[in-house]
Amino acid sequence: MNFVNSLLWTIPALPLAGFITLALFGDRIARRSVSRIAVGTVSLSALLALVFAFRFVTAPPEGQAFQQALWSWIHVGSFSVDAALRLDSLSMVMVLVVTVIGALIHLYSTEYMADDESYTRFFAYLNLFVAAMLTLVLADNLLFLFLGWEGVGLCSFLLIGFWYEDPKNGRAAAKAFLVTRIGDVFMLIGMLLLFWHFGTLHIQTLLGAVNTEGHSWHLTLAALLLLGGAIGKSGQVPLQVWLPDAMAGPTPVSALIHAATMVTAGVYLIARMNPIFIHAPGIQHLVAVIGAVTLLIAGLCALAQRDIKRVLAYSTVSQIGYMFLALGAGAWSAAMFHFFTHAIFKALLFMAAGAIIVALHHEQDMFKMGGLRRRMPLVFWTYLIGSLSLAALPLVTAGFYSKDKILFEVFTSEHGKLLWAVGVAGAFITALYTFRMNFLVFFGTQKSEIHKGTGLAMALPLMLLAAGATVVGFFELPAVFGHFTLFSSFIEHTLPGTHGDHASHSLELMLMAVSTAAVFAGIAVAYFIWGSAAKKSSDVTKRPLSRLLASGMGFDWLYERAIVSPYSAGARANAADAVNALYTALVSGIEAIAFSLARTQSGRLRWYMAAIAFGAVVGILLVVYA
Amino acid sequence: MILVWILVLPAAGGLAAYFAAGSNWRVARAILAASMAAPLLLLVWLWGRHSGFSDASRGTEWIGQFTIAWIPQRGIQFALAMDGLALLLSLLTCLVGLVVALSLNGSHKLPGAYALLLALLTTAMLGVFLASDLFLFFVSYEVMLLPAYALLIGWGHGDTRRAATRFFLFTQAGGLLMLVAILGLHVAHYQATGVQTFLYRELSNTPLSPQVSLLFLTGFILAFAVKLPLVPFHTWQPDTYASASAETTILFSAVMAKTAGYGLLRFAVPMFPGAAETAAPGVMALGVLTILYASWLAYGQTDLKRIVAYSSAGHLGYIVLGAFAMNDIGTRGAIVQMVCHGLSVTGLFIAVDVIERRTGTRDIEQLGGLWKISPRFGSLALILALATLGLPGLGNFVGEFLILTGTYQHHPLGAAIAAFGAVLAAAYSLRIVQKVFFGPPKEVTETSDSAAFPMTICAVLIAALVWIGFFPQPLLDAARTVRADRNEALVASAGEQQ
Repeated sequence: MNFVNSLLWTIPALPLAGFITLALFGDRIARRSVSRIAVGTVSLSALLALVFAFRFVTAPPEGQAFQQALWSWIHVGSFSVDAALRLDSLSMVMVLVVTVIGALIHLYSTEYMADDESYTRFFAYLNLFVAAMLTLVLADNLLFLFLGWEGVGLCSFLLIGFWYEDPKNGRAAAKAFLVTRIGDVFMLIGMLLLFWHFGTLHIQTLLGAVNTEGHSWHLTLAALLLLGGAIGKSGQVPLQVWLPDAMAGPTPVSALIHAATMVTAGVYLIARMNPIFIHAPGIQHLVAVIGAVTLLIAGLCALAQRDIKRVLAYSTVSQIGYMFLALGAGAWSAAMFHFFTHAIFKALLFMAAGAIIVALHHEQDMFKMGGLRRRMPLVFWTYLIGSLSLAALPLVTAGFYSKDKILFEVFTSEHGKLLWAVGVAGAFITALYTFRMNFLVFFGTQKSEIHKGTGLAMALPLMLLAAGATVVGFFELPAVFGHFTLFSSFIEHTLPGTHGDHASHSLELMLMAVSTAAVFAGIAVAYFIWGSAAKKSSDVTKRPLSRLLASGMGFDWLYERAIVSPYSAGARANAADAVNALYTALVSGIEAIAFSLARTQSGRLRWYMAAIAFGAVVGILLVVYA
Repeated sequence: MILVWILVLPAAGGLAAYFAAGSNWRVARAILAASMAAPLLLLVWLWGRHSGFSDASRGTEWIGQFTIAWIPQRGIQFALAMDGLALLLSLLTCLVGLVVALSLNGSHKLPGAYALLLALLTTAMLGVFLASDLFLFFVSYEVMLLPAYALLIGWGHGDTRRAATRFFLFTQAGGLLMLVAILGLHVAHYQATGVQTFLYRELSNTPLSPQVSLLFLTGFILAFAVKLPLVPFHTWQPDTYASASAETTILFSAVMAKTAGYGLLRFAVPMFPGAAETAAPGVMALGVLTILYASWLAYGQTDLKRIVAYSSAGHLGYIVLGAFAMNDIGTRGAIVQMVCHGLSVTGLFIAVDVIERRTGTRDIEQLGGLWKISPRFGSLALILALATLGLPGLGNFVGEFLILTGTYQHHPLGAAIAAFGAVLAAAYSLRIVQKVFFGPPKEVTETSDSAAFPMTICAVLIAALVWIGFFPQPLLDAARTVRADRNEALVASAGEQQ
């Protein structure tokens, strides 16, 4: 049985091997084999992950984690870091999501990308992404984690800019990389601080030391720096600007990277390093505030978008805001549960949207869709299921259980009432934009021709995920519904438990009723505004407020003027390098002196005599008095 | 004796190429390549034979020494010595020299003379890395200038005379300050002990007052600050790189700039440790300024060669941080950074050369869509750009990360500011990728010139960078310096020590 445990390394290594094969020999491999390699390696990883999950439950490993050292990485004096893996229950959830949803998205892509001339390149990048993400969640030290962290950033760059011939995509790709890199630098500095303070980057050792030390300004600063990294990767305010533009990549990429997995890396990081945040309560509260602000802003922005993928992008930002809210409120397992359900229904929504986009010949404007209910029933129903889960329709959707858990635990946390109210307002907005999208796309009159049906490779993932978006909610039921805690019991092997258990059932029911009312109100308002065919053609993007929201609340505008333009315009203006002027001035100064000295060479004898006499006097004076 | 062979083989090969090849570039290439490959193999053999690197107690021994009297009246000796630092940089020199030799082709005029000058420059640089007598070090350091100047004038493009003159004046001025410091040290040592010597291990133990020590250190630092270069002594560099031939640029950026980093790590910091500690904040501030300012300038350029030139300056700013971090982590990080930067910048300049040959321009505003034309070349260039921006998994990250870690110990704020260089490096690196490789393909004056060979070289360099990125330990083990102050046990003796 130890043999199985020793296979841990193959979970990230399989997709990596797929990437290497495709990258080196891709142009000699037939398309059919390309998809076999790409889908095969990730599916095998998923299978292995399931085996490990099974073993985790049936025969829990020592210390509740599988561990494996791979190789000795960097050892210099007191600095020592190895490449080593650690699979505990938190990583397990991440690994399952990454590999299973990753495999489904790979399968889906075989059809979605079938006509693309760079088919091989696409799958190579996708495999590399999965490998990097698995390294991130399996790493047992921060530097190895950082390798995966930057790796997913790279893949994100490559995949957003996948259709590189359009300069717009290249710009979006570079923007994503640069904005997240600002966060990465904060995280790097955080690592330096932690290393010099605790003498290690090994996560478990580090967290043990943190718990012994308790409060200190080092921890507060470290928490703030790590938060900077998490904000960048997870697209939270004020570094959220890259995520909507990231929709320039092919839709499966949006599903995999910018919804289900990569953007949740920040959530994972905070959850993983939770003792640091617990010992820095001010920063932990900041996490909650950032989450609340983000979920509200991004939700409002989603309301004003025309592009279906941008709605989903803002929705992702907003939903991750919920996860941050939960992390900040100490609702650790609720955050991870929402990550889990969100990964499923958001992957579903993106892939269903992709099916629509392909069918409509790459039309993404919702105002040019409409009436697709009858022509694309499978997509309609799966999309509806995903939407209901996103909007958190009570009782039957996974999104309801995870969001409800967050809201309840936020309410019962310290200073949680206001944050809870923001969360409920967010729930209303979520339902509103979700059903605006549904009414625009699927109801009313049909405006675009359907070019292409949905094949099995795309339909199958949709159906599986639609089932998931319903069923996984029952992994974790609130106290009033029987208090079934499969998910949180599992993940609380790693994360601290919740604090809200003492609250009364009546409070729980009341809170549930409020958020349910918000959801239904949102759906109802959406129906009145966009449900009837007559009104929905009205172009809202012309009104000033809508324009502001459509542009993402002016963050881009601000950054462009405050940072990007000055930097690039300044660099262009200074291309010849102002320091040169220093030396030019030096040279002209010397020339001027030389010139004036040359004028003393006048040829007049009495001047020379005078100068010699003057020099002699000075010389004598010096000799005598010095 | 083996050190002497390593030192003279390139020069001997250059002479042979000059007399045998004449105008036949194939002969010149073969002879020059052989004369680079031979010392390269010797160095690899030395590394393999020296088992002490992984053993901390034995890690800091000289691998080989050679001493013979040169000008005995002044105590000047022809003394060579090699430790891990010198071994790695000599290896880098010969490797880059081999790459340069192999890239010779029919387009260069007077191939025999070209090969000779490249070889002489290589030997001079090896002399810098191997000298353990400060006079010999200084002579090698200055002798580098002569073939370098000739290469600029004879084989450069554009306003070569202006660029060459600037280069010469700047580095000469720096060199003079160092000469003053070396002579001063020599005299101070004579006054204190009555022994005339320029030997590194002797001069290191010269008793000096803190003020004098700081003065001498300043002389060294200024010389190296020009060569590295540090802002504000950098203005000669972009012009020089832009007007030099591809091969010359590679030797300059990959190896010659490292002589300054080497000088800091070998002489400046270990010989004046107290003064170095005093000077550290100021010098490190210049290092941080260089990282940020050069990266910013790189973003504003349109000439690919200038972008890489400024990027190079930005990355060498880290070396100052590592050298003055005053700890093992920083020092070894700086050594790894020098090796990896040498490899990656060689690849980048090769890529720039390929682009210029195939399209007739280096202006990124006129380029575009090269990925479409050659995805393989695009991938290689992309990886080199990623190495430049410090992506983990590539060797440059190991160097930069260790440097920042080392710096953080005593200068956390400096390390934190320097870390943002990673964002600026990403900005200009991705700008290259975006402008040159992304976008719609533009019309290019496609020549029949095959890029297969340079691409193979780039692939090999990338393989080395990936290897170092994931398995840096052998390199880190070898990256040790014999600190003179800890090495009194080794007694000087004339003749073969190997």
